[in-house]
Amino acid sequence: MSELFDQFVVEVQELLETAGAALLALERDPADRASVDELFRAFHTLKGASALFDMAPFTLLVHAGEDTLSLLRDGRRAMTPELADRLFRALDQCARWVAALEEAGALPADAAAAAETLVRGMAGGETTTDAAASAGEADAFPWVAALTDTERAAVGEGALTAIDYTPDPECFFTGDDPLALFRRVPDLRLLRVEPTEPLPPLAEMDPYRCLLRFRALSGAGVEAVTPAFRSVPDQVRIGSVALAPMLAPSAAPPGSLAAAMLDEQARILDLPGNAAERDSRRAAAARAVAAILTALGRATERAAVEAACTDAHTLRRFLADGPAEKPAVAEPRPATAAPRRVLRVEPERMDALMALVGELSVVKGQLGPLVRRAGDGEMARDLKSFEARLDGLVGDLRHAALRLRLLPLARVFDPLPRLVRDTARRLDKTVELVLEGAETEADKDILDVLGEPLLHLVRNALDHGIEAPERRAATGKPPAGTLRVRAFQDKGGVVVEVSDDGAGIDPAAMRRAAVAKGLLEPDAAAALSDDDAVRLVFAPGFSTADSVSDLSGRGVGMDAVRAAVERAGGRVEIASTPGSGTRVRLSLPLTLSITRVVVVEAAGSLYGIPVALVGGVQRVPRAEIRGVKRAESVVLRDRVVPLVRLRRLLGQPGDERVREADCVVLAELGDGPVAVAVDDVGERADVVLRPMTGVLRSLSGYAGTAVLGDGRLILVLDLRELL
Amino acid sequence: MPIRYDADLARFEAACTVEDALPLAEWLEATAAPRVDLSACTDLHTALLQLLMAARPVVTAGPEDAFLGRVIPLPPTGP
Amino acid sequence: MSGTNAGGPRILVVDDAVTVRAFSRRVLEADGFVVDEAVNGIEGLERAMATPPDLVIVDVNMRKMDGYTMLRVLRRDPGLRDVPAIMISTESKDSDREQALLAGANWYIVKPPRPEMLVEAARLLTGRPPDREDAP
Repeated sequence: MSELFDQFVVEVQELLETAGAALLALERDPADRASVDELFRAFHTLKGASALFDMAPFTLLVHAGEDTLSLLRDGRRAMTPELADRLFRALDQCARWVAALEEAGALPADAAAAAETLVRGMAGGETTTDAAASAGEADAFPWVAALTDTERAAVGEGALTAIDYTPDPECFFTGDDPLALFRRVPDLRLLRVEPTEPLPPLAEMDPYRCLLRFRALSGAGVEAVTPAFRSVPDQVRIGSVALAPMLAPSAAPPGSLAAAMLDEQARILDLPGNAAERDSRRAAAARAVAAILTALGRATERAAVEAACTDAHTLRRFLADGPAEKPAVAEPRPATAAPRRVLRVEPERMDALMALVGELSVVKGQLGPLVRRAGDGEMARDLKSFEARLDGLVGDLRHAALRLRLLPLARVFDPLPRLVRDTARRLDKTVELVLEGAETEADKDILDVLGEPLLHLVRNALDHGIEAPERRAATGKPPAGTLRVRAFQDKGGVVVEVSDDGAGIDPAAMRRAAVAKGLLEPDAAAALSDDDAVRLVFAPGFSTADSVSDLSGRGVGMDAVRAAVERAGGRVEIASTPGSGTRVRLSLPLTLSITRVVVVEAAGSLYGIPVALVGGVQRVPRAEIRGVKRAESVVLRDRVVPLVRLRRLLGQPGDERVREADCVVLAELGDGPVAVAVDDVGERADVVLRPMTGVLRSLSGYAGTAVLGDGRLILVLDLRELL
Repeated sequence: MPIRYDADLARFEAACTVEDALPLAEWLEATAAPRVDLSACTDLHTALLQLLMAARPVVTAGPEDAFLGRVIPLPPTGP
Repeated sequence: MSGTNAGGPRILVVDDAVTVRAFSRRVLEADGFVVDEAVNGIEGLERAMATPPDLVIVDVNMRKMDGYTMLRVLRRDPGLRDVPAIMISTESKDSDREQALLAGANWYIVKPPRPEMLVEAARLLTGRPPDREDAP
C-alpha cells in the first residue's frame, strides 16, 4: 500500500492547508458559510481517507472535528478564538502524525491519548454528538451482523431493536428470572440463549448461578422494548439496528451481497418522487437487476426484467419465481480512452532534464562558428536557416523545461496567515495580513530559499515593526496594524516585499547602536546616510530590539536573511520611515539552475555578473570619477558610490587606452552599491551555471563557469567575494 | 408438583420455578439417559433452562407454550 | 454480457479525495475494471457524458457539485439515466442511505469500503460473474 500511502500523505498535507486557511477565514468572519463548508469538507475528506489506513486515533480526531464543524454549520455552536485554537491544535496534531507516519510508518505510541485529549477539548463539555452515538450503536451489537440464514429469515428486515442482556450471575437469589423478562418484549423476532462461558459438567455446576446471556431482536421500537428491562438497567443494552433485507433463495444466496442488492433495487422502485424521478430510478434499477442476474450466471432478457421493475412487490415475485433462462444480448462497448492523470516527477529527473537542456544549448552554440565558416554559398544559407530553427527550438525547450520547475509562490505564502494569527495573538496585537501575488511563479529551488527568510521577516515585522494597539492609538494610527506581503515578477526574477505600517526604524538609533556594539567608529557612523544607517540591520550581529524577543530576536537575524538571499544570487533592500513603517524587498532570480547574467569584458576576457545584482549600466565620463589616492568614487543617482575596476580586481594590467568615459556596472550589494568599471558591456544572457571544478575550485571570487549561446566560455563573478 | 420424575423421564407441568432447580440438577446427574417432556410446561425458570442446556437430555416433546417453543434452543429430537 | 471486450467494464470513480480514488482504482483495476476518475460532480458528469461508464461510484461530499446533485442530473440525462450507481459515504445512518437511494443510487457503501466488498459490488452491478476464468 506504500504508493497509496504516499498519495495519502500528499493529500492530507493539502487538506490540512486548506483547512488551516478556512479556519483563519472563519475566525475572522464567523458568518462565513463558505469557510465553514470548506473546513467541514476538509475534515470529512480527511476522515474518509484516513479510514483506509490503520490509524484509528487520526480518524477519531478528524471525526470529532467534523462533528464540531457540523454543529457550527447548523448554528448549534459558535466560533470563538478558543474553539479556533482547539481546531488549530487538532490540525497541527494531524500534521505531526502524518510526519511521523511518513518517517516511522506508524503513529506515535501516545496517539490515542493525544487524540482523546483533543477530542475532549473540541467537545468542550457538550453532550455526545449524534454521529458518535450512532457509530457506537452500529458497533454495539456485532452479533446482529453474524446471524445465521435461518435466523435472518425469522427476524425479517429493516429497523429492529437489539437487546443484549447478560444477567448478574447472582440474579437468581434476588428473585430475577431473566428468561421471563423476554415474555414482555413486544414483537420478539429472535431470542438466543447462550452460555457466557462453556458450561461446566453438571456435577460441578451451581444450579443457582446464572451463566447465560440473552441476545434478542424485536420488531418494536427501543422505547417499546425498554420497559421490560426496567429492573435490570445495568445488565442490559438496548439499541436500534438496521438489518439489510433477505431475499428469496431462488435469485441469490440469502445473506449474500447480491441478494441484498437485488432487494435494494426492489425498495428503490417504491421510493417516493415525481414521475420523471421514479421513471429514471426504474430504468437504473432494471439495468442493475439485469446486471446482477447476469453476474450470478442467470442472464435474463432485459425486457422481462424491465417489465418486472414496476414496483417492489412485482420485482420480488419475479426474482423469487426464478428468472427465465435466455441470456441477455451483448452490447458492445466502445473502446475506452486512457484516463487523465497528474504526473508527479522526481526532482532528480527534473535536474537531469535541466542539465541536458543546458548541454544542448552549449552544443547548439558551437554551431554558430561552423555556420560562419561555411561562407556565403547555398549550403551556408541552408545551414543558417537550420541554425535559426534549431535556435528557436532549443530556446522553447529550455523555456518549457524551466516552466516545469515553476511553482506559485502560494507555497511560501501559505504558512503566513497562520503564523501571523498565532504570533499576533501571543503578542496581543491586532494585525491584518494582506497577501498579494501568490500566483507569481518561481523555481522550486528559489521557493525553498525564500521560505525561511520570509517567515523571519514576517515575524520581525510583527515583533518589532507593528506596535501594540494602545501605542498605535496614541499616535493616531488604526489599532490594527497592516502587514503586506507582495510578490511580483521583475526583470527575469521574482520580487517579494514585506511591508508594515509600524514604528519604522530610526536611523539615529541605528547609528548609536552600531557604535555601542563596536561595529562602527563614531565618525563613520555619523557619516552614514539615513538609508545606509537603516541598512545596518543586515550587518552581522546586529539586532534592533532592546531586548531579545522570543519570537525573532534569537538566532537568525536579518543578516541571515540577507545571506540566504544573496547566496541564491538575489539581493535584499530595506526602506523605512520612522513612525510610518518599514519595507523589505527580496529580489531573487527566477531559478537557480539558469542564471541571467550581464556579460562584461575586461582585458579581453568575458565575465558574467548576475543580473539580480545589477542596478544599472551606464557610461561615466572620466571627469566625473573622483580619485583619492587609489580609491575612486563616482556620484550615481545622487549617491556617492565607490568605484572599482574589474581589471584591478582580477589582477590584470590596467587599461592603457585613452578613453573619455568608462563603462560602469552598478552592483547592488547588501551593504551598499558598488560601481564596477569594465572595458565593455555586452548582452544579457541566460546561462547554466556550473560550479568551478578541479584546480579552479580554489579560486575565490567566481560563482562558476557558463557557456554562452555562441559557445564562448565565461566566468561568472561572485562580486561579494571579489570585493 | 411442577416437575414429575418418572424413572428416566421428567414431565414439566405448568410454571416450573427456581425451587425445582436443585432437584432437577440432582436427577439429571443421577439419571444415565434422561428424557424430558416439556409439552405441558407453561413457564420455565432460567435456572432450569440452564440445567437443560448443560445436561442436554433428550426432549421427547417440546413445549406447547408459544414463547417457550420459539426460544428454547433445544432440538425437539425424538428417541 | 456487456463490457467483456478489451479493458473490461468501465467504472467512473467520483471522489474529491485522491487517496480514495487511488484506492478504488487500485482495487478495481486489479480486478480487470477500467477506472476513470473525477474530483467532483461536475467533472463526473463531464466524464460520464464524454464516455458513458458501466458503473459510477460517487462520494457524497464534494465541492462544486456534491454526489446527490450529480446523481440527480445523471438520472435526468437520456443517455446516462440507467447507469448503475453506487454512493459511497462515511455516514452509516439509515437516513443517509435513504438520501442516496432517493438521489438515484442503486447501492450504498459506507467508507472505508472493504476491497473485496467494493469489487463484488462492482462485479454485480456491471454484470460480471464472480470469476472470469470460470465463467461460461
